Amino acid sequence: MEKLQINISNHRDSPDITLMVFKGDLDAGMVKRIEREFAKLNALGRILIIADFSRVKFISSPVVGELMGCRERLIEKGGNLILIKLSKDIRQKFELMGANQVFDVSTDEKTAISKLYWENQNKPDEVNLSFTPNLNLVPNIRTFISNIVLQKGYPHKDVFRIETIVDEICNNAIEHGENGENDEIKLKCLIDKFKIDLRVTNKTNDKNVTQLQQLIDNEDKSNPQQDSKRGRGIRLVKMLSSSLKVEISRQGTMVQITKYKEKETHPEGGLNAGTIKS
Amino acid sequence: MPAQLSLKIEDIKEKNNAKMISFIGDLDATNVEDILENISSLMNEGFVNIVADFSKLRYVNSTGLGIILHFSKVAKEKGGSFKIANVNENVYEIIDIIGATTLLDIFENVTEAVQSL
Repeated sequence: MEKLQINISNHRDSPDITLMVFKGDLDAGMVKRIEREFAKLNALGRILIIADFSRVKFISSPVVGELMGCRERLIEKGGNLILIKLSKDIRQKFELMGANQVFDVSTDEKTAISKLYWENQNKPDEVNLSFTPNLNLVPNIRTFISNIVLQKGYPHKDVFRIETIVDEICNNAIEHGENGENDEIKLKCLIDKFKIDLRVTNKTNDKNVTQLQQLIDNEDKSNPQQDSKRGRGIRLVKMLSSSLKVEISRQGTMVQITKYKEKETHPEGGLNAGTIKS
Repeated sequence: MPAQLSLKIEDIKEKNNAKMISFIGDLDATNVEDILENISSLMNEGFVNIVADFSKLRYVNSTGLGIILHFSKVAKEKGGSFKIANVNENVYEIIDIIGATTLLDIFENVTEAVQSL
């Protein structure tokens, strides 16, 4: 049996996360040592831990049990333990023991860090897109964002609503903004466990400022019976979102939307009409 | 690229001026003009009673819904009707939010829609 070494350090890119690199065999005799190392970290408040198993060939059942206990104690304090780079043999052992149902396992550090921040610190994931004002790009953009939201565990109904919101605000930016070949529309998404924040910014001109302002002013008075084939988008976005803010100036337009996951309590409550600065 | 939407157009038995149109895919700003052209030309040929089967319509946005309302209005003006059937939950929510549920003839299924012609 290869003697166990445990290398413990703060992660170089995310210093609030501890990286434990195990090297050697984790036989039953190592249980106490592992318990001690985790207890030390816990006492120091180091509760976000990634355990790297890339240099571990063998792990005994008592050690798996000990790791489960360590993980539980971290979770009680709002932390977590994620295992990375498990060998095929170890993964199979985990499956036999049912430990794969308990542990979060990732293939690499970056994914593990992202998971820790997402689950335990509710740090949002950020997606930034910029695109030319071309309507044909919008279907792909809305599908892309909705797939991310779906992967993040949002319910299907919310995924559809977010797809609709993205579609409508991108369409509006294209239809009411500058349409030059070199102009860009920027879409920023911050997604966390409870909500998504979307921000679309684009250039505009005097004519578009007036047009968009009228659209927003008239939206509350809009009648779905009107023969216009367009113009219902803002109403739809307002109703689907938790909050909507619009800032229009000669420099550009910014539309900011927050959408809380369904059934989450929203501290501000209800829908919020836009703010317009010209 | 534009959203994918295709129309499957079929005759309705014993209704000479009627067509069943199945919408397959997503209806949005990128394909709404094509749909407008296709269905308008059918109506101009005298097929003023349309049953739109939405069972395979996955997604519609406000622009798409605007066109549907337009068809409904034009069909009525021509003495016909534009009926919708098999609307999925998500699409129905959009129609509802926009306030169009009372403006459109919506049926549970195509059989009921055809019977009402």
